[in-house]
Amino acid sequence: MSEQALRLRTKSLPKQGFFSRDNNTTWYLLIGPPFAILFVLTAVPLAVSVYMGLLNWNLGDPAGSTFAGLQNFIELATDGAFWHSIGLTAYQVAATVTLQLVIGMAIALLLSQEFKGAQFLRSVYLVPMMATPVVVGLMWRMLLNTDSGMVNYLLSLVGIGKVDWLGNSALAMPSLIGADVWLSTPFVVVILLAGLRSTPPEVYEAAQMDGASGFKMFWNVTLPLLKPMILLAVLFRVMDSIRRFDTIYVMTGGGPGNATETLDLHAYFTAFTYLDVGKGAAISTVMLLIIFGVSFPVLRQIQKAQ
Amino acid sequence: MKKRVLVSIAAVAASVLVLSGCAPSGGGGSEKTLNLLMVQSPSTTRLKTLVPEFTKETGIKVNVDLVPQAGMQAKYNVSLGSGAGQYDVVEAVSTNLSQLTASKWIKPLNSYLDDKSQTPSSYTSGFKGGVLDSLAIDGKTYTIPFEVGADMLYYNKDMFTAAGLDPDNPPTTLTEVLSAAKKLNKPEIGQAGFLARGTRQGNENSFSWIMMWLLNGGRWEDAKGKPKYDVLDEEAARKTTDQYATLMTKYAPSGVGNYGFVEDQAAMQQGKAAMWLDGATLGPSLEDKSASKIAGHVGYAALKGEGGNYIAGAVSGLSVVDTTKNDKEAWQLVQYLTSKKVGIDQALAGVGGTPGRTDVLTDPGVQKLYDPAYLAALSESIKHVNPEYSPVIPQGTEIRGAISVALSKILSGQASNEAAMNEANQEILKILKK
Repeated sequence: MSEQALRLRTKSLPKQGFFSRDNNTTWYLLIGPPFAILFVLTAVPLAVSVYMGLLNWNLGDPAGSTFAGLQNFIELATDGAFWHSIGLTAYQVAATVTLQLVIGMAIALLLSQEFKGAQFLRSVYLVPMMATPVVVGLMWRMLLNTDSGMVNYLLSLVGIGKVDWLGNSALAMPSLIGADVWLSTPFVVVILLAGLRSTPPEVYEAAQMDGASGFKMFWNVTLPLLKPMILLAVLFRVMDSIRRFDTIYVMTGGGPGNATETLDLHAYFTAFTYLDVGKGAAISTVMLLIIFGVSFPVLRQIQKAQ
Repeated sequence: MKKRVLVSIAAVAASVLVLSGCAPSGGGGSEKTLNLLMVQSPSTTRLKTLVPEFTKETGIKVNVDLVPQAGMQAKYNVSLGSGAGQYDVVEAVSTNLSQLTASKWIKPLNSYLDDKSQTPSSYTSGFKGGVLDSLAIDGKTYTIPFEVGADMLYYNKDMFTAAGLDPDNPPTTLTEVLSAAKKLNKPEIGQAGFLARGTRQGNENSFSWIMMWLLNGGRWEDAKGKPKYDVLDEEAARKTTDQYATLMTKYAPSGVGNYGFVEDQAAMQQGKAAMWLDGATLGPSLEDKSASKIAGHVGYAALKGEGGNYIAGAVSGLSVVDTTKNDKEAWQLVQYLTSKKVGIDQALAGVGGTPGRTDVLTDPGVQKLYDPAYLAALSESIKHVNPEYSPVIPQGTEIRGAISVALSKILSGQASNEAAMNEANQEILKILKK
């Protein structure tokens, strides 16, 4: 904005009255309501949840709740099922995010080029993002159905017999990872594509003049320039993957056995199936701490990269 | 500064007032409105359509919420566990009746049942055969059934004949079922020998296991009749687990680990399985010509077991919520939805499974509708029904959950029969110590 335009705009704002730039009352009145709504909807439930984690509280027990201090957390430390779910969550998050980044980068690089139909493809790849995760879960559950699923039908055409994708403990988690890669890779593509398209072409031209091309160009120019965007995608996807619930619940419900019972599902079953809401809240608190612990270093890296 | 603080407080207060304006009003009119919560099923969907008739007769409005089975437990916990008084009447089923009563979420109905001014004797006399008594906990009735079930064996007569088995002489013990399943299992033509529930979702597979365990003499008590829940290392449990695992891994369709009763029913209806062990309420749908390829070719058998009461008696009933402020009206609604008139409508519509009232079964129209073989098997099963097949303690659902996870591990090859059940038994001990 030029200096003249800025002066004109400043001039147009009233010096006195409700919409004056200097009237703090206006700002408080404008910020107050959304702040109150946010406070009621986020901070209060969060505080209540953390407090519930300190209670010995089973909803099915008419005696109600008693303060237990850190008892729930101490029990979790020695609970094999809890550590099993942490391990599964780590596996799920690492595999999902890695695959999404690799595939997302490949698609973003492809779509950043100008070719016939590129515009159409840039719209089409967003389709999975438009579907609700529950619908995606149901869709994949049908596709992977052992007897009547499309995946097994296609495999049968090349002579591969029935595969029990969701009922086999070794295949259930990879199937879930595949479904989430399909669902959320477009999100990674959006972020990376925005980064690629905002990179000044002069940078590539200069690199080309210096003799860079192909993989060298990607490794030494594209990747470093995209670092903030990659980290941003990692941040969002890691946070989302840790608290992924809907597709897993719909597709396997944590099974077979407990082969896909990630931390989120473990918290859900503890609180809402077995009614141990105190322990369920404690698991949620641990999950929140894990998300904080993973997110902050990435956030700091983003700030550094910028 | 003071001004800023005051303005901020005013802004927050204004927001709170605006937000509170969004809350639903408490009514204010004299007209009573009841809220009813039921599991979504063909039967309850039909009941919902009959509610306007109740409103017409009594002037009491009723909001009906039908929730899918998988989400019902969470709905109970949030709406009843919080004591919010969201519902006046809720559906109680055998699997959660113990939890609902132990948590004092529903109230005893004896005072209404005994009060002739509120309950005509013609209403109670329709529940013959001790159905209400069998549902009583500590001598108190907490729920009035609109559907009473007992597990039985369904089989495809044509497949029996093709396998050289006599369709008029079906298996009546689990050992015979195993032997027949072996002969009936023909994966090369897409025919499974046996079906039961395999999924751990909603603890469904534990229901199938418990059916077999009761037949094998298993009970939630020790030799002296005292309650006992860490029973998975006992002989009856071991035998049951071996039978369940053999039937489900050798003679059931591939992917049965994800099958609940809905998938089982569909597989039977589509002629993909020869035998199915499940609740009696699911039977009539096999004879529905619009949905079942095997209609008219279904056989029914009541299985025989050890000891008395060896049949798991799945019951769906309606209960009055403990915190309701409209208990009289709530009882009126329960009476209406469990009346003979509504029972006959349910039965004739072909969606009600087996009616909770025995007087419905004597209706000439209803008698014409049901297959006599089905009624015979049902009558035989109901003689040995055990409505307390699930542990009647607040941790009952969690115990079922431990069994479900163990069975699911066995079906998916994650653990051997013995290792999975021993682990589940240890888990049950941990649950009981809480």
